[in-house]
Amino acid sequence: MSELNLKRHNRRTFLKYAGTGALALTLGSWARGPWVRGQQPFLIGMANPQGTFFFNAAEKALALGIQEINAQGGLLGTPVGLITADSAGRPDQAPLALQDLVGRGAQVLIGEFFSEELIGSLPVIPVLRKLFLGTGASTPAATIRVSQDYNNYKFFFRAGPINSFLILQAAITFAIGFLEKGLGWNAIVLLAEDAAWTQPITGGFPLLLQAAGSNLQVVDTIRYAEDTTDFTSLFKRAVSAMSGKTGGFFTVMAHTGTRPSAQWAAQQVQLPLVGINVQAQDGRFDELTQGASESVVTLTTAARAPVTNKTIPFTDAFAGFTDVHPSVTIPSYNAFSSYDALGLLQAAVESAGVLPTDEASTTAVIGELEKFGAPGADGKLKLFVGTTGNLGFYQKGETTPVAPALLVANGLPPTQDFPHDVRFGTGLAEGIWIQWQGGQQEVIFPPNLATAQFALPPWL
Amino acid sequence: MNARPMRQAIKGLLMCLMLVGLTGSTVLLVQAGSLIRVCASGCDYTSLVDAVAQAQPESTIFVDEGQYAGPVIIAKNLTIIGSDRNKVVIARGVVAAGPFKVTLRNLTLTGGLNGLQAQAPTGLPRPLSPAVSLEGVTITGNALNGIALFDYSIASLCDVLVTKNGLIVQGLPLGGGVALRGNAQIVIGSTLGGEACSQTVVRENGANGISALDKSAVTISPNTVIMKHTLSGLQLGGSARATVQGLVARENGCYGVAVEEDATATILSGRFESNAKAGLHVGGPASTLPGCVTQVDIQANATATVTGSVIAGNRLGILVGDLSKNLDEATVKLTTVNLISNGCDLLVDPVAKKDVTVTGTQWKPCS
Repeated sequence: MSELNLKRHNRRTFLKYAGTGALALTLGSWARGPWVRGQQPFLIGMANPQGTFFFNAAEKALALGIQEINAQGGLLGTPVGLITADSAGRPDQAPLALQDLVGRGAQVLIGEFFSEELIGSLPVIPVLRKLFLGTGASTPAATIRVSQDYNNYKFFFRAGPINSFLILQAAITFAIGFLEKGLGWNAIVLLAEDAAWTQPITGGFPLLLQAAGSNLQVVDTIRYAEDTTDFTSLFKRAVSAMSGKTGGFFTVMAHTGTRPSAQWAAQQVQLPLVGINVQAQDGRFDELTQGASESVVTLTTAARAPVTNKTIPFTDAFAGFTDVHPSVTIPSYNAFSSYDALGLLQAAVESAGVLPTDEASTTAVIGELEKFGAPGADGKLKLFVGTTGNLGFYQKGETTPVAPALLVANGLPPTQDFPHDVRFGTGLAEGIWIQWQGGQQEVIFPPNLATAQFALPPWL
Repeated sequence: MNARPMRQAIKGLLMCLMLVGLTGSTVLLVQAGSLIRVCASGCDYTSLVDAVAQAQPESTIFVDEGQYAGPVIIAKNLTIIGSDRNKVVIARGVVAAGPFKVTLRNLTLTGGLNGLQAQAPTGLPRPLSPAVSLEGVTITGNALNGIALFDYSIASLCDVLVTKNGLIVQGLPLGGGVALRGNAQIVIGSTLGGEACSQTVVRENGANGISALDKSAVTISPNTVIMKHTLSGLQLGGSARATVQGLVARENGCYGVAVEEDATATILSGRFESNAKAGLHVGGPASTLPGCVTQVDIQANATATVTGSVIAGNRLGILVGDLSKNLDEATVKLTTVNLISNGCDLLVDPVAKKDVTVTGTQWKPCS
């Protein structure tokens, strides 16, 4: 997921090796010389943690999107192909996956699910110099790099999700707008896996609630080790802390959601389980938790709801597309974003009139991508209609909705910009909150997209 | 290179005579092709990059003391021999690409993204990968990995030191000693041409000492030490496989040897000592991060057969499975393993199928 602890990194450490970029280019040129090659497809390389639902769902979304593009004649008449590599959920393996994909001929890179993977890949972005559309990891580290060193990091765009500072903003909006004002909650217990990405969220949550004038109290913060096998005592602690209050858990879980969710249901804990629970985006969540999905809430980027006019057609096409991973029928958040990334790429390539096959053409396509999110002559933002919202990117030097206090608390200047991060806000990439009800994912927030009312756990 | 055959022949003969004096056996290494000398002045080339680019296939390049700027891209059968392992330094890495045999001897690789990178040429079939022999080489101070092997490339190591490669960014270790992907192979030998190799040492690199994923293969012979990594000494994931004999894996931050996901390892006569979490880990995902926590939960079945090894002084002797995951299966066969002075000897995660067979081994269970 994300990591907000943005200690300054010495740029020279990376740039010291950037000369090796010449190596990659030279090698590419050499490779084209002595070998006879036939007509090749334009290859898109996807890196995600192999074996996971999130790899499979993203691969399926890309395969579906590529099939649609090829049915229309390809990109500028060139057929598109997809190759994949295992980023393994690790910072040491993710850059190797990107190198591997480029070595195999990928001209555009898409993916990386965990923030640790994206952070690990930062050193190779200036080396590979390939357009890289992030679709899973939310760490702001990459877009801060775009701000600090544009010429070397301009290649990175985050098609989704919103960055982790903005995820916190979205969580605060939900907590106040839905839990406090909608359900009448007056207290929550933060239940967070003890991972780097959750630290600033658990630390910043009470501060931002207070700053927004909320009366919602964080009565306890439970950070549990990721290899916790028995949550009984933690649940008892939470119930005790909530004595006399109205509310429930607010989870902050990405890597470990299944085990605590299963035990929460098995023990019929007297608190609803609401929050960020990435595993609950998995269409198999009910199976993985031995039937514990009912009433679990999580944030995601989209679901089968009219976020835009593309969202429901995509989710239906995804469910019916059996060429790849037929057992995966519900798109994960990174599947939505992968499909959107492909659409953005197609639009930018067609506008630029070139495929991004070398640095000059890649720069031209980058220029077109940057126009999404930039104001047009009429002053309105030019946006791309994706499945997760109307999409555009923040511009260099632009102020974002991230609270300055949050930036300062994370060692950043209060005016820190996030160029190439997808825009956050109503009608843009906003994020939606889904709840498992009767084995289905229903949208409960924002109100204009809701497909169901909030439901308590069956035992409450 | 200038076409002056007589001059080249004389130079080559002189170099051979010089190197006979240095090593006694180097004449055997001179192959067909030219003999080329690189030094600061008065040689065929002052630039190693130029020498490699101009060399005929099968050439041997002798390099005098000095620092030579890379990256050096090798796409032909070639041998590069340094005059002094510590004083012949190739900066910014070596890349071997294509179905060629490359030998690097008696030199240091530093300051690259990867010290040595081996791969098929861009966009071409993966089996068109090189075989690289490293003999008496030090690989240090590279940004990500000491050695990165892609595709079907093969690296053979004899008397190699891989140390202090990798970066730490936001507390995360990037890179490591040796990384293998996509059917790549590494062979750490105990002999070369009938002569014993000195010890190969992989120590104090980023995440893992040797990390193999994606159907890659590791063969380790006795006289190999892997130590002091943030995560594991030898880490196998994906469908990697390993045959390990006489390995010493010690003082690593997580595991001495980790056989994870669908990897398979046959381990004989190893010593896995003083590793922070466990001497041996079998099962679980390979997505290990600092603190030895893991990210993914995937259906997989790891297999390890361990015979005649010593597992001592670790917090846990052997950990089977991952305590935070639900889907990992494992098969472990232990025969005459000495479990000594571990916090406890054997811990098996009860979730998902674990098949553990212990023969001729005394052990104390973990509570």
